[in-house]
Amino acid sequence: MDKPLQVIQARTNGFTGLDWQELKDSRELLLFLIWRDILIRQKQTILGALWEILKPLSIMMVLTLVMGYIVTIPSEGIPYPLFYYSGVLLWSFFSQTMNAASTSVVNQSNLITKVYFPRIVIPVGVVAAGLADLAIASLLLVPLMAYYGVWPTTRLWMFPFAVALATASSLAMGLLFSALIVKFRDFQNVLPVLTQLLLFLTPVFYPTTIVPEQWRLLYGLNPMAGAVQAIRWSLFETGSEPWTLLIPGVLTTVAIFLVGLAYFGRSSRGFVDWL
Amino acid sequence: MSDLAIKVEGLGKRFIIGAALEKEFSFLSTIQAAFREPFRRLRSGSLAEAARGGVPFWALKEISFEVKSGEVVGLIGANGSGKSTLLKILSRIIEPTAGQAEIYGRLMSLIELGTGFHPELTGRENIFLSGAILGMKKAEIQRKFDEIVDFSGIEGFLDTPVKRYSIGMYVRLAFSVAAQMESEILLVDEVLAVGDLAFQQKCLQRMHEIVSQGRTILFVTQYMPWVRMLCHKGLLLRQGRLVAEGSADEIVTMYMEGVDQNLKDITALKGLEHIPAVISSLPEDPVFNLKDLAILQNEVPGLFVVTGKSVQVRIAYEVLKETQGLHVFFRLYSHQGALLFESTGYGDCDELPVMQPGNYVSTATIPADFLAPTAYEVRVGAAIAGERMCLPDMIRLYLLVYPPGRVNRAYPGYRFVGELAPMIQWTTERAESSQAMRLVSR
Repeated sequence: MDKPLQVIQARTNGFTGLDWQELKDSRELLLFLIWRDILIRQKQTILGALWEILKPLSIMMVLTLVMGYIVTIPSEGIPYPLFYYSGVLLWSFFSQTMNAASTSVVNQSNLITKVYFPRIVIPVGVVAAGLADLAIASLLLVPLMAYYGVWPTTRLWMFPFAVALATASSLAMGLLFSALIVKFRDFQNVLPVLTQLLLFLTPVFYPTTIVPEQWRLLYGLNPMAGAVQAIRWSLFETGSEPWTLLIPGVLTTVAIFLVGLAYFGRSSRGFVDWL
Repeated sequence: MSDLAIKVEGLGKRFIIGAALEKEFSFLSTIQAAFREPFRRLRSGSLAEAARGGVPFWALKEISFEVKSGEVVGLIGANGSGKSTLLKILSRIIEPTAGQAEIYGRLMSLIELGTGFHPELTGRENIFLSGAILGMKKAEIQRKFDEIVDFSGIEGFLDTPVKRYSIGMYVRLAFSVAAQMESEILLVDEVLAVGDLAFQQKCLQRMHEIVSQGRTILFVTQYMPWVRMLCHKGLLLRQGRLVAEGSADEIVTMYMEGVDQNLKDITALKGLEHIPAVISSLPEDPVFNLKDLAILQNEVPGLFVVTGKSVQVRIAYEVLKETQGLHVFFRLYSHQGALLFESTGYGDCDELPVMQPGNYVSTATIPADFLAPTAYEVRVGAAIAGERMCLPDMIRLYLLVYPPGRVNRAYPGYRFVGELAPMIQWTTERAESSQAMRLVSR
């Protein structure tokens, strides 16, 4: 008797309930979903991809005005526009992606209830599409830095790692929340509050140097704190060191990622019952 | 057995239904409920389920069956009998609560037309997106792109956003993409009941092609003629249980018998139910009294028949007086109204036979391998030879002949021409000499 290619059973085996072979086979589908998300955003818009630059740019301008000239906060020796743009860039990516990923499963229920594919493709696709936006927005860094005569140093190697940390943490939160929200819709209410909270706990408006030294490790538990600081450190010579923040940040991310992945994997097979 | 495609054992699915099943049920209340009634949580094994209260409902219970490779199985049952749930479990959209299923081979399912379509994207973009979501690889889609566009007929609208399409175009495009699914096992859920008649014909033709490719198909439908036409085997579900398993004809008959007499599934008898009314409105004739009229195939009455099997025209009537030359007959017309042939009740004879008074049932058998997969009109009449017609107007019945029987065609996908498809005998021999090539001595 041939070995069955597919066995459908009531209970899953394995810690995460994820079938790795299946995930590999779904690569193309993932790409198609990302392509679709990006395409949809372009449709019926005049400026299309430009918005991804305009959005963080406008926030940066307001912040520069308010924080730089009205409130006057130190900025670690970095020109205000650069200081804020670098922070806003990464933070926008994180907050938008985390929120979109968290509601992605519920929003795409029409797809999930009709076809089978590994459900994890949905939040991953959302995060990947967010990365594309981040890439476009990052382009503005080049002219901005040139204008201020700030050139990147060998520390630039940290840039992709910082982005990776932000990606991993938004995906981790996205996996956890998207699975929770399917069964318990009120978790949707948690998202805006959580986002706001994290924003204040991330050095977007202010430099890390304002945070008292004895609190820095605790502060670093927010992975975005380390990520934003790392971005500034990688681009600008006068950026302060990110390590105190990165170490706890990475640990938090790994922890949430494992929990989120496991929970998502185990509950994803039952999603349709609640959608 | 290596020719098994699907093996289902003890499959079951339990839902929780009830007033407490609010999707907006809050997490906090869930925790509260867990503390209040810890035992419920332990029994049901799911925190989310237990907290919502409600009653368990078994949509499927102890379903076991096997489907061999290449079989076409019709899954029928009333609404709510669990057909769609079963299909969704086999498609892995829903998880079973009990039992298991084994799938041997690549499986694709069509649960809804237009899955993955996004209104803002163009037809071209949606073809790729939908194809990918259904499980096809990009290379596959590219290869079949032209065929998909051709079948759907939306060539001029490929680069228009799908939200501008008419329902007909949308459905045709969606079906064209779905019709290209190339897996060994295919599950189809009642998607073919949409669209106009022309579209349904196209669907059916395509389904026939798929069936003749030897793939394994599990087919959920309410449309009995299609079950008869396309399926080898049938599975009857009632209230979540597998009640019967057998040949397609058997199962359809069982299903229809189980239905309330008043609500008898008319699809199989479509068109024939108006016969009694027509008969009773006929003027009285001194000699001939028509009692009933039907078209049958495999002794099953109906106006949807398949090619490759004989079709009976059966007439029940009463002869009131001894009459010479009284006969029943019928004429077969093409759907455009051309008379194809006429056939009389007593065949070829030199002398007019005499009919005695009494009740009679005459059956005409149109041979198998004769009718083409097209529409016909059957007109039934009775006459006294050389004198008059007993029925002032002939009674008309529309006959629809479908594949998948045998038909005289050159190759799969052959677009049929002509009105009839008799299986004509051909022989082909190698010519031994140029002498043999000269067919007529001129």
